[in-house]
This record gives sequence, C-alpha cells and structure tokens, in this order.
Amino acid sequence: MTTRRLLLCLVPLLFGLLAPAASQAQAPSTPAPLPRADQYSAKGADTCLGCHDDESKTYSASAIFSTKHAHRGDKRSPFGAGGLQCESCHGPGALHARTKKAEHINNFKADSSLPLAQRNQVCLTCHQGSTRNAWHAGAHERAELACGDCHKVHQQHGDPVLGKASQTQTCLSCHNSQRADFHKPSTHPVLQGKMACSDCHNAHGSSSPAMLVKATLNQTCTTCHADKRGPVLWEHAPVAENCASCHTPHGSVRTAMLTKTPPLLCQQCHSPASHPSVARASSSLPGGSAGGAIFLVAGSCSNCHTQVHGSNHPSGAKLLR
Amino acid sequence: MTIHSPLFILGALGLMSAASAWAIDTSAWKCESCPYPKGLSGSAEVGAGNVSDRSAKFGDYTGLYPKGAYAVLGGSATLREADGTYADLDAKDLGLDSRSLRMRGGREGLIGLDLRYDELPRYFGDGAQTPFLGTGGATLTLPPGFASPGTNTMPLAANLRPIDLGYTAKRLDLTGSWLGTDSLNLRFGFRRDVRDGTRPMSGSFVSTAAQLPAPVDHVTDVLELAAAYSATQWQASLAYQWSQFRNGTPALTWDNPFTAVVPGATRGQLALAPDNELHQVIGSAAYQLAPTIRASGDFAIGRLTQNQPFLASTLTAGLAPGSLPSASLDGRVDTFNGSVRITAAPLEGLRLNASYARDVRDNRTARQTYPYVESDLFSGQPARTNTPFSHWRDRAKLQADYRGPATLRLAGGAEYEQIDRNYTEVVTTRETTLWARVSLQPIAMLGLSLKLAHADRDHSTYGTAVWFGAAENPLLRKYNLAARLRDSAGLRVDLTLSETLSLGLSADYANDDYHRSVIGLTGARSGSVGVDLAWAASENTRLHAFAQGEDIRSSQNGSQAVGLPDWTGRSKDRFEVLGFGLKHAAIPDKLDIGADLSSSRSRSDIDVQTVMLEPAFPRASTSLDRVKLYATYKIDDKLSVTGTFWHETYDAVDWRTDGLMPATLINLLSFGTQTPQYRVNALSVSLRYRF
Repeated sequence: MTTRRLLLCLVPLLFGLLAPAASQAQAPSTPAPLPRADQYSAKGADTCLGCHDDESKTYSASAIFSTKHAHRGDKRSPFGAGGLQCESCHGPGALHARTKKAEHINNFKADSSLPLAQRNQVCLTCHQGSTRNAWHAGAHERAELACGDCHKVHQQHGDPVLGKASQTQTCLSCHNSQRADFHKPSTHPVLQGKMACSDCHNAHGSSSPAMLVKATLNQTCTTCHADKRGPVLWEHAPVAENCASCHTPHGSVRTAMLTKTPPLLCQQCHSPASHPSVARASSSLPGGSAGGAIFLVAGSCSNCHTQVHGSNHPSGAKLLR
Repeated sequence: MTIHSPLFILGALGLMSAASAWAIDTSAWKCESCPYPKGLSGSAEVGAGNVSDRSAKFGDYTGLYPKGAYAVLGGSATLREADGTYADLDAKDLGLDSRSLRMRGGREGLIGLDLRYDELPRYFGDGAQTPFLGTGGATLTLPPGFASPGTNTMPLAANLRPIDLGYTAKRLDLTGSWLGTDSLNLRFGFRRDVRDGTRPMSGSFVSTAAQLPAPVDHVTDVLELAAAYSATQWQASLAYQWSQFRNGTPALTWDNPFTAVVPGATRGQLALAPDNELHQVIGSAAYQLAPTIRASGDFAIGRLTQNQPFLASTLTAGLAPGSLPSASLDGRVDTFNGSVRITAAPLEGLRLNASYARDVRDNRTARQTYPYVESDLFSGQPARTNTPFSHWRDRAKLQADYRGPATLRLAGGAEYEQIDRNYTEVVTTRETTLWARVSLQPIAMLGLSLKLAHADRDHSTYGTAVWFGAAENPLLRKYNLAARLRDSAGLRVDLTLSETLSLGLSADYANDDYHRSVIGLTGARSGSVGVDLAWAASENTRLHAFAQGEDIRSSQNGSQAVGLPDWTGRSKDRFEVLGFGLKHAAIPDKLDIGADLSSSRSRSDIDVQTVMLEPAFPRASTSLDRVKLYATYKIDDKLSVTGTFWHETYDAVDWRTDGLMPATLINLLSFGTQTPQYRVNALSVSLRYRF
C-alpha cells in the first residue's frame, strides 16, 4: 500500500474512532450556566470608563470608540443596540469593578482570567467564517497564538496589523528569517510599506502551503503578475508549475529575486549538446581567454532566451521570440 | 463551581448574545461617558523634503527619485454623524510617485465603501543608454546606416542617448459591502492595475543580441462578487472572480543593430505578454461537528483563456515557413483547487489535524504543429508542436499536537505530496515528509523548541522529453523533478530575562541531497543563526535589536561531452544583517523620537571548474547601511512638527554588469547600466495640523 493510500485510509479511521470520544472528552457535562444579571456591571461602559478613561493609570479604553467595535449603528457591534458594550468581550465585570483586580476580568493578555483558547473563542464568536474558515487547522492556531498577539483593537487609528506599512513589524517580530530576507538587495516592497505580508499570506490559515491567500503559489503570484499567467503557446514548464523553482519571493542577494546566478540556474535543468552544456567559467568573462562572455554577463541566458516566462510567438519555441 | 471559573466565563461569553436578550437589563447602560467621535476631525500635513543624490535603486519602490526637492503632503479626515454615517480619508506621500490615498464611507451596520489608490514606482538602474529611437512604443528604430558587424564598429558615440528605464504601477481598488443582516454579508470588489513605462528586455539574432527598452502598457481588471453566511455552527462563503489582463502593446519590433547575416533580416519582433482572462468560482465552508471537532473545506474552479492573434512567424521577407495552423492560440486552462480539513481534540491535551488538498492545472489548449523561423533568420526544421503543460497535485497531511505534563509540548506529523504531469521527463513525483517538534519551558524564563524534519522525494521513470530540439543529457536530473532527500532542523531559544527584557536565539539548518543526480543540481545546504532582543527600558522607551546570518551553498555537475560530468559548479551565498530600533518619548506627550538602523552585507562566490584549472569568479557583493531618524514635536494640541532623516549607503560589486558598456562585447549591445552604488540623504520637515 502506498503512503498516500495509507494516509487516506488512516485519517478517516482515526477520526472515526476518536470522534465519539472527542464529543465527550471536553464538552461540558452540563451546560454552562448563563451569567446572572448581577455579575455584570451596573452601568456597562460607563462603569468601565469610570476608571479606564483618558486619565487612567492602568489602561485607557477610550480609543475603542474610534473603531468598528464601537459602531453604535451596527447591531453586531458590542456597542450596537442591545450589545453588552465592554463586557461583550471582556466578560461580566461587576466583580472586577468592585475589586479592581486584573485577575477578575478577561484582559486578553497572558495573565487574563481566561486561558488562550477561550480568549480566542471570544473573538471567533463574531469573527468566524469567510477568510478565517481554516483558522482551526492553521499553523498560527496550532502554535497557540492569541488573537491579541497580532491584533490591537484599542487603537485610535485602527489595528496596526491591518495597515500595510505597520503590519510588517508584527509579522517579522516572529518571522526572523523573512525579516533578514527583506533586507536583501532584491525584494518585494515590503519594508517600504507598499506591500503587506497579507497580500500573499492568510495568517488565519488556508489550504495552501505557507498559508497563501490563493490555493497555489502560482495563483498567488499572478494576482499581481497577471502578465505571467498565460496560457501561452510555448510554455516554460517550471513557470506553469511553480514560480519558486527560480524565484525566492522574500528576497535574494541577486536581481529578480533569483535563487541562483545564471547561467548556473538554467544549467541545473538544461544540458543538451551545444551551448547549454558548456561550462562558463571565469575565463569566459569579458577579456578572458575562453570567449562566450555573452553567456555570462548582463542577462546571461536571457540575453537571447528573453521569454523565460513563455512566448506566444509562433516562432517562440526556444523562448527567443 | 465558583462564579469566576473559566468555564463559567466561557459560557457567559459564548452565550453573550443570548444573555443580553434573556438576562441582562441594559436599559441603564446609557454610555453617557463614551467618547464617541463626532463631526469632522482629522489632520493635514504639509512640508518639504530633499533627496541629496540621484539613485534609481534608492528611488525604486520609495519614489525618492531623482534628486531634488519634493513636497510632503498628506493627511487624514474622519467624519462621524449621529445617524451612523461615517467617512474616513487617509492620504500619504502625495508629493511622491509612491503616493497612496484611501477613502472609506458608509452607514454603520448597513453598507460600506472602501476606495484605495496606490502608486508604486519601479526604476531599473541608472546610466542606461541606447541608440534606439521610439522608446516606450511598439517599434524601436535605428538611424539609417547604423547596422554594423559588431558593436565596435557601430556609430555609438553619435547615437547613444540616456534613457530612464522604469514604470509606475497604479492601483485603484474599490470594495463595497452590504451588512444588512446578522448572518449574511455581500461584498463586491473592483480593482484596476495600470502599469505604464518601460523595462529592460533583450532581442537576439542567434549570435548577436541587444538590450531593448521594452514597453510596459498593462491593464489588469479584477471584479469580485462574494457572499458570506455565518451561523453559530457553520459558516460558508461563495465568490465569483473575473480578471482580465490587457496589453496595449502586444509586440515589440526592433531594428537589427547588427549587419544581417541573412538578407532581409533587418528587423526582429518579440511577442509581449498576450491578453488573457480568468473566471473563477471560489467557495469555502466550515462546520462544528462536535464541541471539539471542526471541519472546513474550500474549492476554486477556474478557467483561464487567451486568444491573442498570432504575430507573423517572421518579418524577414523571403522566408516562407508555411502557414500557421490557426490565427490565434485559443488557449484554455481549467483549474480546480479543493481541500478539506478536520481537527479534533479527542483527549485532554491532544489535538489531531488532518487535511487533504488537490490542485489541478489542466491545460486544454490544442496541440498543433507550428512552422517556425529561428530568430528571423532561418526556417526551422522540423516544425514544432506545442506542449500544453498540465499537472495534478495531491497533498495529504496528518498532524498531532500533545500538551504533555508541565510545559512539555510535542508535535509531529506526516505529509505526502504527489504531482502528476504531462510532457515532462517525469510523469509522477512523490514526496513524503515526517517531522517532529518538542517544546518545553524548563524554567519560567527559558523556552526551548526543536524541530526536525526529513523528506524523501522519488519519481517514476525518468524519461526523455524533447521540447526545443536537441535531447537533454540522459544523465541530467532536473532539480524540480529529481529524487531528493531533505533534512532540516530548527532550534529556538527564548529567554525572558525580565518583565521588560526578552532575548531570542534561533538556528536553522537544511540539507538537500539529490542523491541520484549525476548531471544537474547534486546538493544544496543552508544554515542560519539569529538573535533578537526586545527591551522596554521604561514606559517611554522601547528598543529592539536583531542580527541574522545565513550561508547557502549548492553544487551541480555539467557535461560538455553530453555524457559523464566534466565540469562542476559551486555557489555560495552569505548574508548578514544587523538591525536596531528605538522609540522614545523624550518629553512625554510633547516630543517623540525614534531611530531605525540596519546594516547588511551579502557575498556570492561562484566557482566553475573544468578539466582546466579555472580561477573562481570575482566575488559579487553588496553592502547596505541604512539610518532612519525621526522626531515629532507637539507645539500645541493642534500643531506638531515632524522631521525625518534617511541615509543610505549602498555599495555593490557584480561581475555581470561591472564595466559592461554598450560596446564592451562585440556581439552584445548593452545598456551600459552599472552595478548600483550610491550614498543618499533624504531629509524632510513637515507640519501637521489637527482639526
């Protein structure tokens, strides 16, 4: 039995066996009781703002009123009609209002009264679905990230992670390798604030490797590079299959974010009789003894095979036209 | 159960909507002290800046190009009405080619509109020169009598003129959403990308080539209609996307600057990217099967078409290659992407995750035989038949996470990927990956994580695929198809030295062994180490610093005799970067200052060895030192002044372009663009007025 078949058989079997246990393992044996009315504060947000106003030494909550979470006209908002205002997300606050103790409220931080999964569930109560459908299986969920690790909802000028220029700082604070890549000489305009990580990646999870916004890498790339998506008459096989065969999208030490310097890059796949198989050593550089500098300098192979992404010219079979 | 238990609170939160309806009397919750913004507020920024020197690389993406003064213009505005009507405006860098503008408006909870406009400048180097006339258009011409056997005899001195190579990418993006019900959202989006300018390209006549300023005249439209439904237990969305790419200049014709080796071969023509169109239907759904079991899936069905009329096989009179089988390609690619995922927590601390995905690119374009002309010089024989590439990719994953005793966490998984292809040397590749990760926190201040992975890729019989004529060396194994063993390891150490000081260390290693490749890529190895530090020195001062170094090596074999290896190629890239950042409220609520500093170095070494002893290539290197300083001083509640200083020093050495002038090579008429080196200061001062 092939590994693939083995996996395909094992998965449903495993989940089939475990499903009954799962439905009982962590489900509350009795429904959680509804909070009593007296566990909520007496005046809702007015109670909270009694301490958490602009003069607060612990935390000023007033910035939330500049955000969507405080849209009074939106009945889905915590501050919409019938909403529980601050306590929609932070939970019943009467005890916290009396004791002033942090452990008596869900503050969405690591020392919150709620464990991480339950803090995230607060957000997912409203923000489940759409581009977050795959959150439950995504790498960030499995790494036990809290929504609040990336999102800051109490920000007057909006959540920084939703801004193109500011989002990068959040992502790169963990993704150190990519942070280094973006300092390389050839990159996408991420550090310049003209492109965000979320232009290519869905941090909430997706079906594709590296949690891309589209199902495949090529579909993601051609979202912007539509001129490369074809189809064209003469296709270059790796282009149709995987842009990353030649390009490294987070940054490279050479132009066009290439993984390797041509002609060596091309000679990894092309070695027929005639010029592709010829070694182009340093003696082929301009002024050298071997000649053939045109195969090395400027665009190297693409000095002639200029249509490396494919050609629609009837005479373009060799990607020369 | 105490009233403060997490379970109780979770229940309260999970049922908050019900609670609000059933139990909580919010009639006294007037929100009288809530500081809702009212009316119009915002800010306007006006100032001036100066760029000290001209550098296309510095200006690339930033718009700080060429040198000289520029206007600092920007601002924001917010309008909030009591009836829920709102409008927002944000403008940034209006005085530069990297400007952006965003306008939002609507009615809270009912409708929203979001309009964005963004420009991105691209510059492709300084110092380009060309004798071609008509830059930016579909036809590049040369003065009469220009063509010569080699660049050394071309009348370059009289005809070379400087050109700026680059284009501006402009994007207009309009999104509208209707939020009419609690559960259903409707959204539409329209995006237009316009790219206008030039980019470097090349055109050849077999043994000679010229760098050409190719036109960029692209318009891409994307229309999307989407609906999303959300219920307590399930969520679903459905979208339709249409995208059209149009190229206003689908061909580039250029005069041959070299003496035609075939009578009449005085012009060449390149096909530029053809118009194409994409239709795609995208769906997604998630369902909570049980309290601890959740499943989700998505699909995308697409069709990509292209039917640009073919160009002539050649512009060279006297060559009669025969008629084309059709006037256009009528190309069509059908795509399918589907995936399902399921997660479960069957036991306390254990989570299981399984997924399966299938991606199909089915190129339905007809195979036909095309007579062709080689580089507008010779009728090619035999005629070529196109190979519309298709592939079918299947991926399955099974992963488990276990939260063990104390702080121990274990994770592991198995992944399988199979790709089937047509018209390639290998029909099927299969790769199995096994990985494991252990994390623990032996003491409160120390976190450790180690991940190990092993992957084994194999393939079906490695055959022969002849696309462009001569057969490949039978010993060649193309690296994206070749058998490969991949091992990787990653170690992460997190030290929380105090409540305000944290230190992270990381090390990664990966090794690819193409163990059955005789010709082609035989091995690749990468290693990196990094350190990062974050320190909240005080309530008013935050610092961060990082350093990362990496080393990437690869080796490959070639054969000039089209047999066993008779030459080797080794590449080695090294890269190091140091960074430092500071944010400091020098005078709280009055003066904020900040700094971002980085310094990076790269070195690329290539060594190609044949039976002759060859010296290694000269090292290609780059060094970039960047300093950004900024300060904002609040004059009063309404007025503030901001100053920024940006310095960059960039040095690079690259044997591919260093000293390569238009006539350096007798058979390559190049732009003469040199490896960038610059030292640029950009200074700006602006006033921001808040209203």
